[in-house]
Amino acid sequence: MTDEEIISRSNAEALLGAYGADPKRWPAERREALDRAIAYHAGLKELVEQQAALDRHLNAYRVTPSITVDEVVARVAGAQASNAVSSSGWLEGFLDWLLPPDQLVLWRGATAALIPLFIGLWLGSTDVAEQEQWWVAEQGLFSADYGFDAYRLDLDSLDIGGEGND
Amino acid sequence: MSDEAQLVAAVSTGDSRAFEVLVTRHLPAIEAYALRFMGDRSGAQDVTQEVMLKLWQRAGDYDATKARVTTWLHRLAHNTAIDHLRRTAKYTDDSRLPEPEAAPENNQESEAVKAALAHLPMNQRNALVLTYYQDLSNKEAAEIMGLGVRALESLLVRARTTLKKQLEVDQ
Repeated sequence: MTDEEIISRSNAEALLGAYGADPKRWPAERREALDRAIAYHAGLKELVEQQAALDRHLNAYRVTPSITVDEVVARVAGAQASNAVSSSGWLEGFLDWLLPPDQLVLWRGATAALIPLFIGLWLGSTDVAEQEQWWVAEQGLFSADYGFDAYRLDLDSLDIGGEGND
Repeated sequence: MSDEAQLVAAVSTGDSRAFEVLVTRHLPAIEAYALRFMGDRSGAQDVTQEVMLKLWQRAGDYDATKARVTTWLHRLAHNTAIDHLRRTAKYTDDSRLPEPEAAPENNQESEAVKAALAHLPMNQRNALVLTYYQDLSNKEAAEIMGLGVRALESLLVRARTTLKKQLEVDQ
């Protein structure tokens, strides 16, 4: 065994400090080198024991998962049904942007209901504007040189349907 | 393509049976990860449910050439948990969790470890949970966290050093 095949003491300490005492948890590509370093460098066996004590503490922390597969499947089915009910994805997206789902949940329905009202108001105001523009155009036409007044004059000058027209 | 990757591909076409198989395999591990990372059962349940919903909705995004299915799911869980912590204002500047509530089923030692983990900065806690409890390789854990392996190892050394002091491990 040459010195080049032994990783340095500080590297070995860092590996033990990161992964603990159990060789199964060490990176596979450095496992053999670390084993050799522990045998080679004085004091590393004590470090392994300290890390093993910490591992025992960590192993004592157990958690008990509680969600069942059925609950997950039901949740996904619920989400699908909710997507199906939602007739338009763009409306959901707009509402998400306007009112994030985790905030003001109760306002989402009201906002959705108000959208047609706002659209109606906007359309209504657009029609009025167009009508006004139409009326202005008409007035302009009749007030031109050959417009309304001239037309009236022409009508007046015509001797039609009068009493002396026989 | 692995058996798991084939199942994910089937899920992306709407195969609910394949979905159930994957959920059965991965649900306990994802919930355990969320529980240890977040230290809060209610939040962990929300995150786990959301991850499984994402598995159903985003199965088409999975790339079998880049990661194992478990790594992909842990990455989804990691991102979802961080989003959840941010939304619930538990993601503070120093990224430590509030004092966890004691779970009645756990013993004193388990509670001590849980409390010590909660005091770790988020990145250190996450690195330790992913590598120690979730049995992911250092490369997989680093990828999930968006780090290099060296940076991950540095977080692990700091986490274990702090835990050793907090738990007063016998010298």
